[in-house]
Amino acid sequence: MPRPASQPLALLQTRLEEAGAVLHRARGAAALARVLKARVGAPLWLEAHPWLEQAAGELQKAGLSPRFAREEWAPDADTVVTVALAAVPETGSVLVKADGPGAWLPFRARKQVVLVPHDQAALSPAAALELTQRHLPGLVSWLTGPTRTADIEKVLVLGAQGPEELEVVIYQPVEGP
Amino acid sequence: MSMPLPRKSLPAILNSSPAIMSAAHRALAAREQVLRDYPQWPEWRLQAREVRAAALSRLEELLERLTESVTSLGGTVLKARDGQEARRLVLEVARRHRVKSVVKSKSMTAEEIGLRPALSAAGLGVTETDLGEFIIQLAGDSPAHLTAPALHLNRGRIAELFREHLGEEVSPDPVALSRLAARHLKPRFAAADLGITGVNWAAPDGTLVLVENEGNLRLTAARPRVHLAVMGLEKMVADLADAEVLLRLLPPSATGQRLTALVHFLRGPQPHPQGRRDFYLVLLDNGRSRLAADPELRPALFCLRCGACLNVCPVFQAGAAHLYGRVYPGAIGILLAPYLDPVGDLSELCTQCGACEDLCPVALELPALIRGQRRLSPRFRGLRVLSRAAGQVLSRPLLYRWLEPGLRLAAPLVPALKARVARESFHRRRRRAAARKAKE
Repeated sequence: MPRPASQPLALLQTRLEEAGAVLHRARGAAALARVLKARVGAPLWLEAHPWLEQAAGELQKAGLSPRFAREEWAPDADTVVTVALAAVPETGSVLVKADGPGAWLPFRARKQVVLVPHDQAALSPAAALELTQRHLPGLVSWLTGPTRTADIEKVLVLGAQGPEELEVVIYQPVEGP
Repeated sequence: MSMPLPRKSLPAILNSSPAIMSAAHRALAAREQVLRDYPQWPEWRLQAREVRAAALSRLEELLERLTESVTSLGGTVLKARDGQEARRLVLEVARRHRVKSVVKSKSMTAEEIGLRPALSAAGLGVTETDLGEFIIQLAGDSPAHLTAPALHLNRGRIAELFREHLGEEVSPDPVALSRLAARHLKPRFAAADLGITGVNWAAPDGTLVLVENEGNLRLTAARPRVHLAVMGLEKMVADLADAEVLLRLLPPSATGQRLTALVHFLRGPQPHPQGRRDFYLVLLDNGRSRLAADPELRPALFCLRCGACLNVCPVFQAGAAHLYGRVYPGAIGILLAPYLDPVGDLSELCTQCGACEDLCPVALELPALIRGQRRLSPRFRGLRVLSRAAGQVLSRPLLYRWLEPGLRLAAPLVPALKARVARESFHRRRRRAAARKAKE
């Protein structure tokens, strides 16, 4: 049975796991950098977003050399980190708008990490559709787990022609001092 | 007129039956698993039916609004009456943009009009980018299933195909095979001038909804500098909000997922790192308007192309789509056959077991619709006349005894009678039935 609406994040976690994805939570840039440090590999590409710009310094201190996506196709990456619009617990989906320099990032990565704003992590499918509509024209994609195929004897293979790992971080920024 | 698919020999078709049955059963089990969490499923089915019926009842108006929206966003809408016109329009786009290389994601509508063979015949390099479609392109086969095109080929045969066409030895392991295919496909996206996709649904505001699992559709739509989407007229929804219930129903029915790994909402031409991207939307009729005008069989256009009716069909499991010799197999294929080019009559390929009706996500009464079609089928007309006459005779023992010697003498004449009946076309019967109804 669907979980009660009072536990949307628990439901999101269950649904993400079902779809082969992982959920984390982070509050503030330092916590985000800690989560990312433990999860990412090189080459590491980040969407040019204020949240990730704040975390980049911490990642550099840890010996990682993150690069920010600019107006070109990103080369092959191990990990890309992008920022989502929202998440839908009922289906275990995250909504990603493909615009700006980060649009091409997930195309060539082995692993995709997506930050979801904490106040947008419990949308119903209907609300998610409304939000999607507000962000068009353009391209909004709902990601539900890593890319996959079962075209050979119905055997599931993750990472068909896109990321084979998807990790979702519910992120709450902390106001500066 | 589209080309009919090459018919395989019956032994070749039936040889693939165990693989098809086992894949179909796995898909059904996955669907059952997801449905356990969905007590609202019956309500969603009815809601989806209403949504599809509402869109079809005002199809012309919605298509007009879609055309205006796409045009105002900088795209181009091309309307095709049939497969031939659609192929010509796509080839014109290819020539206008000096296209040499094409990548294509999975689209049954493109398959219906024989788009890949037409582009290849015009000298363009076309690559199917969905893994299943890529495999059957290498095999020179047609799709075996609406959502699992290479269902009939096992891993050993696929490894052989890869060795033969890609020049690489690979172990017959699905992971290794998938990785090898992805490695070969990757440079083709970057080299392609034109990306062709299908469309799952379109809203009047110009939003296209496209579902996929592999990530190849996103690359096909976004990487080349021209994106062309091919869409059957019936894929309209009256409002994007209507896509919600359709998205709830399609993935569980098709692949046993709550939602596919990627659902794209695309409106207007997308930016491209190397500058402007052109967008074309081909709206294909190919018999759909004729079907939409038929009050009895119009619901066949509600179909989401999930393929659930195939997975449960005993006829389909005997030989997949190849048994039907058409792009759309199973119960839905039987209903579409007299309308979609190349028109045909498949109504004998149904056992009337009724299993498909229980599974259809838009609650189509498939067996009843097929029975309705059989009433107009020349193949069944002769049988119906005979069975009615037999009923009359067998229920009257005296009459039977009196007629028996004469019936024995008349038996050899029956095939001749059947041949005469078969000459009458399905559509002539349909027109006559409609006229009779109107008179009443």
